[in-house]
Amino acid sequence: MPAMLEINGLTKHFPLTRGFPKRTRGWLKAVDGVDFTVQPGETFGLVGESGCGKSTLGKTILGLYQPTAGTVRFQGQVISGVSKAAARQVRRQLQYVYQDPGASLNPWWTVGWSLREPLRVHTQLSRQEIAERVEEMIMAVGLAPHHLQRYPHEFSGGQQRRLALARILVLNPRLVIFDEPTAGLDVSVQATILRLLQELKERFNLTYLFISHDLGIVRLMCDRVTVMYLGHIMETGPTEAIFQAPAHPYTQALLAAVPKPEIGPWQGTLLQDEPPRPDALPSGCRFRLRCPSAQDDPCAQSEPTLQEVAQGHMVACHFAPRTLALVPGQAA
Amino acid sequence: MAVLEINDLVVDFETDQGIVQAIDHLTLNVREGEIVGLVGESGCGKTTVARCILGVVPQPPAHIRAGEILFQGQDLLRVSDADLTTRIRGKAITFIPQDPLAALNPLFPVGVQLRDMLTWGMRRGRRAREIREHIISILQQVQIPSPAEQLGKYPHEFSGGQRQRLVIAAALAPAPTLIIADEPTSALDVTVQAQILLLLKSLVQERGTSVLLITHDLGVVAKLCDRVVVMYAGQEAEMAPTASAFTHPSHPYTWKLLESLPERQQGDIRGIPGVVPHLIDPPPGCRFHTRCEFAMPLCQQHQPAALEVLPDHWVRCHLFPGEGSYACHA
Repeated sequence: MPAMLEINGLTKHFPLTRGFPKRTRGWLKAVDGVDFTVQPGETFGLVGESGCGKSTLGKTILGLYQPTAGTVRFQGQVISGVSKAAARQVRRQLQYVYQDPGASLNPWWTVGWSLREPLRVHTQLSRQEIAERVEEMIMAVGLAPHHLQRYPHEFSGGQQRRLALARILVLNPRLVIFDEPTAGLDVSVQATILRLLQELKERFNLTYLFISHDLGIVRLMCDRVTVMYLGHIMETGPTEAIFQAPAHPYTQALLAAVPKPEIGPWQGTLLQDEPPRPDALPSGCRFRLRCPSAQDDPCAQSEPTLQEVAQGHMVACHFAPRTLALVPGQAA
Repeated sequence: MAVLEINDLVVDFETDQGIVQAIDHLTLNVREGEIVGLVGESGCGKTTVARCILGVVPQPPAHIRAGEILFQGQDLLRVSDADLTTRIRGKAITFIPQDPLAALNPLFPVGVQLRDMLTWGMRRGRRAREIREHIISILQQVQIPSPAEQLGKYPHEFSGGQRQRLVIAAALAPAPTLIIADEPTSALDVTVQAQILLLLKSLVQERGTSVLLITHDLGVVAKLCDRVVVMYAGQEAEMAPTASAFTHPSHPYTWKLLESLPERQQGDIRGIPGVVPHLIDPPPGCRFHTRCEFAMPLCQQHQPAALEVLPDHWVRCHLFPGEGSYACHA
């Protein structure tokens, strides 16, 4: 069985232009040589701080950006850089849920109209069949058919998430990419939405790609996690391995910085400063300026590549095996 | 001694749809040198409380119907406007906003803005150099590198974390007694958030300044606050020392809120069923009874009074019957 999603050397550079006529003064390396594979039926998490390229990566996978280099394969078929007609076939099965679902619903359309639209675009179903399918899906996300006559502003933030889910489910997708699925929701509502996501995944046999900066949610929902920093993968592996025994100093610092709802001070080393601008990266390892264990050699000399430290657990750090040995079962 | 004491505060908003009962008999206090977390979900009235304390609720549409806000024993609701501007707001009580980019004027260098905030309403006389040195020393304390060179820069030239440091500096500069921080780090990444929160904590502890920290993040409360006030639909549900609130959450809403956190989920993911009630027509009795699994007939009829269930741990819930309350409303 081919992988659901296979990404090889994916790179997206944006030109930094200035003046008239436009001259390219440099390149912003938003995504810089990323490889990963998502297997059918799993929930794959992509975490990192703002500006690490996780949303650019999501949009490049979807085809909203043309990659500078590298390929995206969906169910074994290359989908990056293909014709629009070919891409359309794939998009039915590959859906993207935006951060702010309220903004992605047309305020002038009733919700029913918004939910029927994808079926009108992508299928030849009759009006009756479309209505039935939409009704089935609005019930699946925990809303009622009478909600279809309402307009988006009449719904709360949590309900708008449900609508966004119903809208992609009508097309029967295989892979759903979520960009910050619960940003802006209160914790009590967030929990109900996460539960719904789990139920829908089981019921419709979906595969999820979660893009999030919230480590708590990622730990709860994902089978495997990839940590990104300034366009690069720093560490990837099974969720429990990443959270119990993080091997990259950045992952360790990220986990340490999360204010956990437990009494007591922060545990572990906290980072100083802020990430450098992605258009002015340091030489060698891009994390070395903030890294507590960085040394001139080799960190400033060469960029570390991903190496396997345990089964399926890859780390891009010159000191990876050593740092892993230093954290025996660190509480995450 | 309490620096800030809010007693039975009632605030309504007049809207086209009707009267929104935003704050309904809220009671809370902040003691000297304490960091108190004010948590609750969006729309529960956290920010309205902050605005009432600072005297910046527009009236109308708002109406403060009842209650008092005692700051060092003085009722802020009855202080003259002149007093409020010259002595209290921005002097004895300062504010750290959520979005520093919106709080800083993009057209003026930060040095000028910090100076104006500091000297606003002050009689002339302090020499410019003294003020400049004071600002530089504050910027040093919030760990802005080479502060003297930064004074001429504009807000957009700073990173998100540095802008947050700037507004913290502005809040600390007048040596206030109380700082109100409204979600001070919710726009920042976790690694920067941890730096800023630790810095804020060490700076206020050094000075013995009290802080009312408004947040929706219970993790931030656990790491930073001495006491916590949990608000629901315009009322305080629980007010307790942080350790006590996390180990013995007593109001069903606090239990449920803690249970909803991704870090605390076990087995099936659980949230709180239902939605926050509309405050134009809030449910009678306890405002949480519509979503509470322990709701009894009594809950629909009477608002529960606050009861001290553990030392300094107050709860407003009918599950704890008894006397000894500080407020009782039929």
